[in-house]
Amino acid sequence: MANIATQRIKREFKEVVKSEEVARCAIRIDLVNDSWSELRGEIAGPPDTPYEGGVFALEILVPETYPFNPPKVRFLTKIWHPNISSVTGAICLDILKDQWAAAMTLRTVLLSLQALLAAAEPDDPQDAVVARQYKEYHNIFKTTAQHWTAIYAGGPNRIGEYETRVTRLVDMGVDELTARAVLSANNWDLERATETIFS
Amino acid sequence: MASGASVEFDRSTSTSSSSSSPHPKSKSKDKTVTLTTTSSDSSHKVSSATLMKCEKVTTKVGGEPPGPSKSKTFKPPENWVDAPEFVPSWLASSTSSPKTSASSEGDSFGSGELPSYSEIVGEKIGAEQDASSSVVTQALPILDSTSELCPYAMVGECRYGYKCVLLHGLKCDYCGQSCLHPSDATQRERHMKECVEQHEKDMELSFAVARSIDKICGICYEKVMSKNPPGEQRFGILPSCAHCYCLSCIRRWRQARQFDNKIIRACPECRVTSDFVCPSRYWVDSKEEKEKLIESYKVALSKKPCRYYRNGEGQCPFGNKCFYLHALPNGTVVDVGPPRRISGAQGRVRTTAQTLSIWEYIEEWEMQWLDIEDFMGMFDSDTTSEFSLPDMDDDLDGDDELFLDWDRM
Repeated sequence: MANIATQRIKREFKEVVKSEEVARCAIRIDLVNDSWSELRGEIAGPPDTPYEGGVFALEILVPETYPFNPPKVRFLTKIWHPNISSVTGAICLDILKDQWAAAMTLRTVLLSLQALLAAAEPDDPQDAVVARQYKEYHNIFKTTAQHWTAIYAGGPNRIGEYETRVTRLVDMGVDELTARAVLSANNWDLERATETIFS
Repeated sequence: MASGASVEFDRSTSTSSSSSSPHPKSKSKDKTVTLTTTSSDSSHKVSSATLMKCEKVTTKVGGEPPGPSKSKTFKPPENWVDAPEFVPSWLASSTSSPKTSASSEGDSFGSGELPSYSEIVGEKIGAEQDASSSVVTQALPILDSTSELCPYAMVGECRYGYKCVLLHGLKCDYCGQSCLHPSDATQRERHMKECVEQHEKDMELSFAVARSIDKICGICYEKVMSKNPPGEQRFGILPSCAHCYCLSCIRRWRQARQFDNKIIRACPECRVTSDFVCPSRYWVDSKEEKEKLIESYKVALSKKPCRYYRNGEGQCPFGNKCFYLHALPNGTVVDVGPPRRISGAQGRVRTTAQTLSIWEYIEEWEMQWLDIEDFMGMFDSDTTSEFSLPDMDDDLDGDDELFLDWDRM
């Protein structure tokens, strides 16, 4: 990795470790290996959102051209959010793409992601299915996001009713993750979900 | 006339000048009083002769011009200067000029009683023994204002000390050098002025260093003044905001072609667009400093020949808006007129990503040592005829005069 990138990541790492956000457990960065090119990030779900109480893991890949190019970040923890792929964890956030600026840091990126969880942009979606639900069935979106946070990110609001339907599909031989995803995408309509899976 | 002559006479015999210590001065006054009273009382030859001697002593030591009453009785010697005068060898060269002037004056003295050499010297020694020889040594370096200052004493120590034939100046409080001429006020003034100016410059520099030393580049996060190699220790000043970057980082950011022009021309921290980056050795805080810096940068650019214009062989797409020099080989500066459109054969497909600004041109040129290949490649892939200009009305109106945005088609 280019010298400037390594140098900067090292400095940033220290900055994040010392930051007050770390002190109150809002963000965190860990090393994955000694190369400084791959890092593991963590952000806490922001309060008063469906993601509250959850902790979301992020994969951060630092390109050699960093900071002239943004780090490649995706969610490792599954999340139900219009701007994050529910399948791959890919993020649609302008600053990680064409609006990147060389003065941005890992800390600002993680804080931006936290802000993204608090303020979704359904008109510029990464996951069109989630975005449609967000716009058309906002309450279902909220409970689904809560439920996903509980299941995958350690959140508190597990929806028992949703999980019962997942179990029904699992009983039919459907993989649990697929079952939950399809049910979520179909607004937890078991019939339509079954149709989608078996047609 | 006689009084003037006696002063000259005084200077030639003892090198003490009129600016000697006040003690002998007061002494001479006392004697002058005695002289006037006695001369009124009696006209004895003997007494007048002793008075004459006395006066000689007083003028010698005190240097005070004798009063008009004295000059009547006192006739200076006609050619006493021709007497074998004792002049110390280390004094010979410095006293030569006053001596010659005195000798010429001495000829015009006319007749008068001539004191012997021993009389003069004897009186002189007698007077100076109590008037302290330090008066002489102090006064020694004080010659006339044309005398040169000793270069050794100026920078530190002269091994001849007070015996030096050159002047030892007074110490300047600013530079600490003994370079103030003791008797030349204009020289002192000039020197002090220079010194103050230098001092101000030094202060400015140390302020500049002080405000720059801890500045951290917002891109590489390193202290700009501590970057290695030292060639990297340069700031890239953005005219539109006050965020700090090192020159290489901000230039590299502005070269980042994977982003929209608007993005890379903006400050990476505040997103305020700056049309160019001004290189600087030091960080600038105030608006005035910044304006001064940018102005000097533009002046410097205007002296470099434009690489598109090529001394008249080529065409510069930026026309008279170009910041580089458009001059013929003979040095004539040419106004090539406003930027002109060079039409290409292609269709008019414009993408913002292909937008090129004059400032990029400048920056890329200025950073030749970095990746000029990339820059050249950008143009070599197309022909120069593909350089085309946008509709002037759109781009020049309301735009900063310093900035032009050209589309490549």
